[in-house]
Amino acid sequence: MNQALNVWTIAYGSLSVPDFLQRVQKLPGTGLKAKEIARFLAENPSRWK
Amino acid sequence: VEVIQTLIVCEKPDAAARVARALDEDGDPHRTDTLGVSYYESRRRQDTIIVCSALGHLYSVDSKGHTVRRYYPVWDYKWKPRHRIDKESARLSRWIQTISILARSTDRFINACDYDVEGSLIGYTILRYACNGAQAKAQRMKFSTMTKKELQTAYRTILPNLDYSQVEAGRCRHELDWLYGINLSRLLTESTLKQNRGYSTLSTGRVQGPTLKFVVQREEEIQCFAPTPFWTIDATIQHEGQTYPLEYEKEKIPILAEAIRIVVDCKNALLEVANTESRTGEQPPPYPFDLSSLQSEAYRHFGYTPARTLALAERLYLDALISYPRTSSQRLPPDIGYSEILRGIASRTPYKSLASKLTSRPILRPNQGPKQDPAHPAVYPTGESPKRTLLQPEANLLDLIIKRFMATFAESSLRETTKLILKKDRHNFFMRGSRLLRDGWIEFYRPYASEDSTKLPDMKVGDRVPIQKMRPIEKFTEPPPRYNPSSLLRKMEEENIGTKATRAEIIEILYRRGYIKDIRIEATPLAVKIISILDRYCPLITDSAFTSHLENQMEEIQAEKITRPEVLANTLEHLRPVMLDLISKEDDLGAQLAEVVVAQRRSNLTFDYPCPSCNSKLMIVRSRASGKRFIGCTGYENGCRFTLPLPQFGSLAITRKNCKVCEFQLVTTRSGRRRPLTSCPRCYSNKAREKPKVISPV
Repeated sequence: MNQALNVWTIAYGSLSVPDFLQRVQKLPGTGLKAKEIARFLAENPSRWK
Repeated sequence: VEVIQTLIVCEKPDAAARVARALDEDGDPHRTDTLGVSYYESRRRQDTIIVCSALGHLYSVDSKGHTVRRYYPVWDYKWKPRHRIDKESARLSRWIQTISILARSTDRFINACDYDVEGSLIGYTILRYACNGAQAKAQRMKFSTMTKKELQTAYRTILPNLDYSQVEAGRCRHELDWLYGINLSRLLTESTLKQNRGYSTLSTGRVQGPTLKFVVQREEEIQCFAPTPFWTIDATIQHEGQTYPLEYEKEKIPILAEAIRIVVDCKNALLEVANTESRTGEQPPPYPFDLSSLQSEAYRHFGYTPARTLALAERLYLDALISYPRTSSQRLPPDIGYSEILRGIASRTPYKSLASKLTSRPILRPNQGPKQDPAHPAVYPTGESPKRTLLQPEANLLDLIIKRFMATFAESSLRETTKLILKKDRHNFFMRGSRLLRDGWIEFYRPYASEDSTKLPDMKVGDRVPIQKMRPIEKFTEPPPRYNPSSLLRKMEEENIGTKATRAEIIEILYRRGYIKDIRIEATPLAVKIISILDRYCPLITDSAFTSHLENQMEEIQAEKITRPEVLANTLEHLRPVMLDLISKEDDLGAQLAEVVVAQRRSNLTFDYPCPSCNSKLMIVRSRASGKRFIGCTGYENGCRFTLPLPQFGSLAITRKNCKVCEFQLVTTRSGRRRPLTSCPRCYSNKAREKPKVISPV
């Protein structure tokens, strides 16, 4: 997720973490485990390291 | 004159019939049935030749002392008749009995099973155990096709002894696989059973473990995949009324701002043709088929799984229509008689004109591939015409093999590829086109060869053309593709695990055990758990490098560089401590496995389609009162009484397809040897929708 966020931030110029987590969950290519982590981090922003 | 009685042992009944016909002076051997087993009596000069058959392996490895099949670990083994090991092989006892009776009055023994490791071992065990140690004086027939001519030549030029190096390699493979398979599989199954949560056969093995690990690793890559964005430029130009797509110089643009800048710079601009590049390239003919390339092509063109292709190819081999299919060679030696085969092919109307083009050539030289097999040449057609009406899949495969054979003798094809480079300031756009200048081998390999051609507009350097459409397209990276049976088989081959004869069967076993599902192979939670346990406690078992090392050792046995007992002793040295360690942890192991087994059993019985009455999940349920099975609603306790009937015989599987009429999930019933029946339990229709319906979670 961290690696993906770095790529996304560079790609879009600026991107908030909640926006990233929300968008990544909606993509059909996102794996189930990745979706689960994105959902968890969206619900528990304090756990993002 | 002394009359000599010869006993020839073949691998299968059809092969025995063909050998007997080829060796009989009149081509009409006398067939006798004893105990329901057929054998043939052929007359050749003064001699009597009895041709009998096995049914694959009649003997197999089993534990020496323990009669309890649940005991583990077991290290002592011996070869036993298969009917004593496996109840389902009971009929094999009649085969052994018949061969033993025939052997009593025999002076000369010949092994005429397929000339490979398995065939050599099948013949060896029969001669040794059923013919009272006749392997010591037995001879070996070596042939690659079942044609009359080749069988007669093989009989004339018989090898004086059995091929012991292949026999030893085969024995070693079976003994090793048994030691691994029986110990690990019993451990997995029994440790789960001890948790008292129901029985489920769990297995792993020397080849099964690493193969499953490939699938599980891919599954984890897919499940953990987070896509990242990139952009492409969608642009077209219009020239003389036709629209042509443009390719931007950078295939993927990783930053949105950059993609927007390109579009702003070039929108509505005039592009100038800066350069044209034309290249003519020769495409050499394909190599002759080895088994894996045949399986791969059959999957690509007809969708046949590797196991099905092998079964079809064996059928064609037994009908003397193609050569022995279990080969890893991509070479066709001249002694197979290229011209004669092509003349045979030319006698069949669909191939007449193509084959005649080749037969008229003064020299015939196939495009030999790099892979070799000392036992057999590449797969080739014998040129004989089918004596029966072939089933469509058989006819398809034969057509593919014939056309591939002809294509290997043809000349290279010639293709011209052209690239137009169009410029706008510092931005470059490309247009690519290609056309076939000379058909070459493609003419012989239609419709299996790709013939794509793209036409380019007639433009010269300096011409200008306006951009018609220009926009950035946002895309996201995709997870790696799932394996399919064909690509998994290729992966096994690349990693050198299993043999050409066993790989397809291993994949089928993974399906049967419920470790993998669907054509685009998906690892089930059970497979993920098994691999995680094996990786944690005994990583060597799932290590493809270790399995590959054992494969190499077996090849060395065949090359007589190392002996079977040495390989077995080395392997036991590794396996013994691993097993003892696993046994000490079996409680923990069993608890973890039982959890997943129960969850998987439940998910196999649950429909994705929700209950039409209450939207709860539907399941296959068995009535405690009547013992009958039906579809019931999990909302029963809340008052939902929705039920649907189910067939009471055969095994049931819930498919992922939905009914075309009522959209309920289809169910497949398999009963005995009958064809599986897929139908809708709600409206009894057997028609599936084109695409499965996506159902939101209930």
